[in-house]
Amino acid sequence: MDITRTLPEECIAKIISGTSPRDACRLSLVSRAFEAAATSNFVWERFLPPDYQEIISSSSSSSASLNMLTKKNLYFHLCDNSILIGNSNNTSFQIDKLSGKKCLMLAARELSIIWGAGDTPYYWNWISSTQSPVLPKSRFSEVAHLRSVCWLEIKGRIETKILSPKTKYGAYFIYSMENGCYGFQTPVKVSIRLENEVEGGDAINAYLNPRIWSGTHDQQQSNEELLQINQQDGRLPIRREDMWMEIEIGEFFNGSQVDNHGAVEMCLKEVQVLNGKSGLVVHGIELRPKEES
Amino acid sequence: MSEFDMAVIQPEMIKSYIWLQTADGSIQQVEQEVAMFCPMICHEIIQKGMGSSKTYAISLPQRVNPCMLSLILDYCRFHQVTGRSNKERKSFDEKFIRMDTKRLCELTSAADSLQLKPLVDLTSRALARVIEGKTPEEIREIFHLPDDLTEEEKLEPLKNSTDDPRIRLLNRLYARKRKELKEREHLKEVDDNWTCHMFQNVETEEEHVDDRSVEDLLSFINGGNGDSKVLKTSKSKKKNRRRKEQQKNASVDESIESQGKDSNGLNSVCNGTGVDKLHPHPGETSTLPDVEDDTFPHKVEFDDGDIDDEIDPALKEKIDREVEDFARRLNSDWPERMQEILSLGQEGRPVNENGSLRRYAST
Repeated sequence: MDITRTLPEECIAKIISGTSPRDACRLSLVSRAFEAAATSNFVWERFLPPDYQEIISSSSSSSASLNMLTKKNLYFHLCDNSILIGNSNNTSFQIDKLSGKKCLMLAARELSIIWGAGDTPYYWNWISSTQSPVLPKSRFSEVAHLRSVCWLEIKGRIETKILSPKTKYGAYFIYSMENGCYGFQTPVKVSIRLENEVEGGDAINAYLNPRIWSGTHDQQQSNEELLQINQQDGRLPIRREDMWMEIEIGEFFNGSQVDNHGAVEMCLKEVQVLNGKSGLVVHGIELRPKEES
Repeated sequence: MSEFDMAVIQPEMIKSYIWLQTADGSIQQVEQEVAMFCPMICHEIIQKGMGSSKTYAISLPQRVNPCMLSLILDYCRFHQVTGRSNKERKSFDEKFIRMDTKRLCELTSAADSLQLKPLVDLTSRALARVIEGKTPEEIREIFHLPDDLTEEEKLEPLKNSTDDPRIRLLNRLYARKRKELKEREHLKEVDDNWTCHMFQNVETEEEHVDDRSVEDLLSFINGGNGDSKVLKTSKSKKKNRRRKEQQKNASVDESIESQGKDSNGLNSVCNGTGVDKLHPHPGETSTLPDVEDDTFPHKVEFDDGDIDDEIDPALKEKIDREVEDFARRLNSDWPERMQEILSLGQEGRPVNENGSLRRYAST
């Protein structure tokens, strides 16, 4: 009994839409009938976020050409490319490949950086991403560059309703370090807090610039020290594929949209030692689904 | 009738029944309120006035056989009662859905033809659980599906929108594989029987190809004595090539060079043996981190669809080695794995949860 003779293509598509994007790709290799169902718009529209249409049309970037893609191609396009949304295009939107959930990134301009308002360029100044050839390419028009500050405090806030519901999210600080940066041997404190919850917000140490990056000769020693730090004390950064650095601020679970009208607050600061710091370049804060460990 | 008589007739005892006929001709009576739960039957009763007697029984769609009908009616009988709690309904559904896959499919089909959406949703979800995580081969087995996609279709190169060098290399691998498939197509014309047998399960063919068997086949094509001279030269050519192959550790250069030299289908057979060398070593596990750790220092600029002939041979060799290296790192069930890997690129983002450092540090 060949089920493709008993079940019409719409039924097969319906069944496939209840699996996952990865399964759907695999299923297109089963047989001709499955391939047709597995690549259908019906299936991939189910994998895209429910409000994808709205998000795309609100974006300034080429929504017309995006709408011409098949839903499957649109899905993969949004996985590999971010589109700018929000006022002043200071938020970027993407999809997480495995789950189809939303990934959002707040530009540096969207964050509140103490002393970074722009009228005190002695402390922080704003660089257009095209101006600096040394830095990795930015998806936003500007990045924040730290010239010199003692009180380092960066905060981000995002409403949970624009994220995908019933998802565990991780928040990541995306940045870079200039040559000649200083002041980051001491760790900064990172914390994350759901606004309408009482608990949470415990600060964790984060080493933005562990010694290994400064290229000292005693590399081996640094590695061991780093491992120690990692286990006991705080978080370490990693370099992303787009060449920016990232360090985890924290994680939270975004519940269902009905009962959660609040926002998430993310904070990175160093206001205790108050040593002089310089050379940090802030790209933004990214929120993306985190797998259940 | 006196009032007394009227009082005896209790309204609860009067239930209307509907007559349904399945495709096999058998007719049965069903309580109207139960049958009306199905939109299609409801439509027939109300719009067309059918079902009130045996002669006017409602003809059910062909996909509804008596067995499925009785299951569907059980479902309707339970759910059409209004007083039930969500918990009760869920519990019933969970028990109801416990049946073998074949039945689930038939049930989905039957419910779909009766437009009974809640049941279709329920069975679809159950079937999705059955399907997810399985390989295409397993799914073909479960549902008795024909493997009717051609090799070419399975190897459809994926769009390389991110300019990923790995994907470019893989597309080249695909292009070559497609070419080899075309060569094999020529062979098919020579003799269908043995070519089908030989090349049917390309993916599972073992790396080691018996020298003798190829020669046997060659002699079979050439039909014994008539072309023995031709046979000998091609044999020796093949032997030389084989030696070279072993030295170069199974590089596929020869097959490409020979493509240029010989136009007849004979050498395609030798190409066929070369193809086997492309297989990844069984037992080698490939995990995505391995793939990502490969360094691809040379960004080769040319179209994915190009066949290799126009390229400088030294560069070609380098590319070929890289391609094979790459191919060898992948799992044996590679067309499927390939689709998966290409569709999904890196698994998630390049984050290591424990904060360990990535290799790119040296830039």
